[in-house]
Amino acid sequence: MDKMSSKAKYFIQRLPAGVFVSLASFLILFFALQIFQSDDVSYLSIGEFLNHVLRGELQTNIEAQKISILSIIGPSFLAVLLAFSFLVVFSLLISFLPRLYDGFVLKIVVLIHSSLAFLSGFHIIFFSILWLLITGNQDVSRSVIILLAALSSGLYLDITEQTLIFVNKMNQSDYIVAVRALGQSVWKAGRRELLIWCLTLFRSSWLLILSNVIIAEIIFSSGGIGHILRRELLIPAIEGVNVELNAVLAAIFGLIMGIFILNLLIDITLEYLRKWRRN
Amino acid sequence: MAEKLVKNRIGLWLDIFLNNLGTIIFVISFAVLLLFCLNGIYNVFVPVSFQSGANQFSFKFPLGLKNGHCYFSLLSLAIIKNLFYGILTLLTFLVFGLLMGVGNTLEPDRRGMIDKKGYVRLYLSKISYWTSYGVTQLLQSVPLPIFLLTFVILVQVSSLPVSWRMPLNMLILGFLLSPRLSESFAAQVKMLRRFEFMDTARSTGMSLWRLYGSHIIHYQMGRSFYMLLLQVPFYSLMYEIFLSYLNYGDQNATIGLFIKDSIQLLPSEIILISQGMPMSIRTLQLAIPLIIIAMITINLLILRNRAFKEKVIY
Repeated sequence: MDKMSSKAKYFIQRLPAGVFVSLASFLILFFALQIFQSDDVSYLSIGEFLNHVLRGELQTNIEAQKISILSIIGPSFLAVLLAFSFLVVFSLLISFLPRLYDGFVLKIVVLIHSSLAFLSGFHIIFFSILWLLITGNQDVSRSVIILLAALSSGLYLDITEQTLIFVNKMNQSDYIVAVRALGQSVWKAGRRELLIWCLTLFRSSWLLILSNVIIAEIIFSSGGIGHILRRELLIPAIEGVNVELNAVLAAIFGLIMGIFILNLLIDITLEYLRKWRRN
Repeated sequence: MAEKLVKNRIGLWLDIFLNNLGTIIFVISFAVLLLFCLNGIYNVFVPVSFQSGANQFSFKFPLGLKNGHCYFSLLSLAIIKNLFYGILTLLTFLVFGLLMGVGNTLEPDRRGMIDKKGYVRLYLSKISYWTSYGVTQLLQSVPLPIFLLTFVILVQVSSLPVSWRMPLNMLILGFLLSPRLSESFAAQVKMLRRFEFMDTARSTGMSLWRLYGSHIIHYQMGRSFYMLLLQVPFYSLMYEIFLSYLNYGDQNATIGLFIKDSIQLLPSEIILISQGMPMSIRTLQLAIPLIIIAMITINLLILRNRAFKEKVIY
C-alpha cells in the first residue's frame, strides 16, 4: 500500500509543472501568431480552436482538405526515433566491435567513425546548404533528412563518446564480472542498466534531433511540421498574403502535447526502472 | 642503406606533416579570415571602391567585380557584419544565461528569516527563482526553431526600421540559446555548495563574483563554458544564413545573401562547366562564401579537438 501511494505521489507531483509550462508556451505562440490570422478565421477562444482541431477541420486556402494533427507531426517524430535508433545502434556497434573482432574491417570502421565524428561538428544548416549546392534541387527522400539530422550539431560525437564510456564502465563493474565468472547471461544482468542509459540519452538528446529535423524540413520543404510551417506561415507572411493558421496552430499544439507526453512517459519509466525494478 | 635512410627521412617528414595537418589548416584558414576581417575593418572607414571594369583578375580587385563593386571588399564587409551579429548574440547569451543561472540557484529557503530584511530577501529570492526557472523550462519545452521563427516573423511584420530587424533577431537568438548556459551553471553551483572548500574560500574573504568567476566558470565548467562561447557566434552565423535563405534576412551584404546567390546559381554553373564551358571568376565568386564558412567551421572543430576535447579511453 505504501509502495503504491509513493508511486501515485510521484506521478501526481510531475504533472502540474509540466502541464503549466506546456500550456504557457502554447498560449504564447497562439496569441503571437493570431496577429497574422486573417480576420474571418481568427478565433475568439481557445475552446473554439480546440473544437476545430479535434474534429480535424484544418481547411486552408491552399489545400481544401481535412488534415489530422497526427499526419502533421507524425513524420517528424518518426524521423527523430529513426535517427536516434540509428545513432544508438551504430555507437553500440563501434564500442563492441573491437572486443569481438580485430582486423582490416575494424580499421575501416574506425576510420569511418573518426571522420563522421569530425564531420558531426557541422551544423544542420551547413549540411543542408551543401546538399542543395551539390544536387541543385529541393526534392530529397526522408532518409536523407534523417541522416543529416543524426550526423550534425555534434550529436554523433556526443552519443558515441557517451556509449563508449558507458560500455567500458559496465564491463568493468563488479556484477558483470561476477555474472561472467558464474557463466550466467550478461544480457539478463545488464539489460536494466542498458535501458536506463538508453532512455536518459534519449531524454537529453531528442529535442535537439527534433529541432534539426524541423530545420531540414523547412529547408527542403518536405513532410512534417517544418513543411507546414514553411508552406502556411513563412512564405505567406513574407508575401503579405492573408494567412490561415489552422494547420500551423494545430501542428504547434500537437508538437507541444507530443513533447510533454513523451517526456512524462520517459520520466515515469526511468523512475520505475530505478526504484521499483530489479533486473 | 642510403636509400633506406632517404626513404625513412621522407617518411619522417610525411609523418610530421600528417601529425600537424590540423595545425597547418588552422593557421592558413585563420590567416585568410584575418585578412578578410582586416580588409572589412578598413572598408568600414574607407568606402568600398566603386569602379566599372572588365571581369578579370587583377591585384586591385583580387576576386573580381560584382555590380561594379570590389567583390573582396563586399565579402569582407559581410564578414565584419556577421562578426558583429555574433558578438551581439554572444553578449545576450552571456547576460541572460548567467542571470538565469544565478536565479536558478536561489531556491527559496526559510532560514534566517527573523526580521523584516529576512522576509524581503526571502520574497526576492522566491521571485527570482521562479522567474528564471519558469523561463528556462518554457524555452526548453518547444524546439528552438519554432520560437525563433515566430519572433522573427513578428519582427518582420512590425514597423521597426529595416536595419534594426536582424540585430533584434540575433538578440532573440541569444536569449533563446541562454538555457544551455543557465542549466549547466546552476547545476555546477548546486553541486559545489556541498563542498568545504567553497566555505573556506568565502571565509577567507573571497568575493562572491570572484568565486563564481574563477572557481565555478573557469575551473569547474571550464571546457564546456568556453565551447559554448565559441559555438554561439557560429550559431548566429548559421541562423543568419537560414533566415536569409527564407527571405527574412538583411537587405544589405551579409554572408547569408552571398550563400543564397550561390545556392541559386552555382549548380547550373557547375553543369555548364562540366559540359565544357571555361571557368570564369564568377564561379570563384559563387564558391568562395561557402569556402569561408567551411574554414570557420573547420577552425572551430580543430580548436575543439585540440583544446577542449575530453579524453576518452578506448
